[in-house]
Amino acid sequence: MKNTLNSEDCTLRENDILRNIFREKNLRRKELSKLPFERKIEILLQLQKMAKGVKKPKGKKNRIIWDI
Amino acid sequence: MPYDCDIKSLKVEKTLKVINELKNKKAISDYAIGGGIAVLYYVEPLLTYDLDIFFIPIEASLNVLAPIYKYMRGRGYKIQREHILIEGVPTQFIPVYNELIKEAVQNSTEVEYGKTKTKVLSLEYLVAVMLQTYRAKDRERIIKIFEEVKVNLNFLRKLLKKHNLDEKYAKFRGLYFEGK
Repeated sequence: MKNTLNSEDCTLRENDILRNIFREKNLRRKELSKLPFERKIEILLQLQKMAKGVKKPKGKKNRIIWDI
Repeated sequence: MPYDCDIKSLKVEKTLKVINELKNKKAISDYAIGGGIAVLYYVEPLLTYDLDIFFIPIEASLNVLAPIYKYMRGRGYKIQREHILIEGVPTQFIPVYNELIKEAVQNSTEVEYGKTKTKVLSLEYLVAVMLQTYRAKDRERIIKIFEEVKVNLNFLRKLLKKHNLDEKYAKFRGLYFEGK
């Protein structure tokens, strides 16, 4: 007998996949939240540098990047 | 174990030392870090630009910022819009403007950055303050906190009740966590 998946099975499987992805993402965030304060500041400085290159929407003021 | 940080993030330690000087020289009575940097202390790194310092003035006067600006100008730090650039870090000094924030500063958590001691608003007070200000970014940050960190809910509820924020909190939870 042939094994076939109907659309309901596929949706269930997709939900499982998504659930796993979200669980992993949450775990990663929780791990990052435990980084030392100093390391978080290092990452913040990188984020500011990355954001500097992004064009601001009209009317949005330019933020002061930490000059360190 | 102390974190072996790079030179750039060590420069932030200098900023914190200068802020501590304000307290030691009695230009302010007490302070604590709030805003985005306080949130960053608890959750995954997020983009923010200001170092917000909530402070208790040394005495009640019309211009509580005057002693801070005087001290900072004397140290040669530039003022740019609402910020003082302390060692390159745009720092905004915000006087405690209500009882909740005053209490938050008085009950803040002492932390170490490098070898320098500083103070950060404690988690539950931080949530309460953001619930009070309730801008879009505050709501987003509260959600992050609840998703990533363990909050003392008993203490938070007591705190919110004391400052008449319990109904707002129930509405917030209903909207973002219970889908009501």
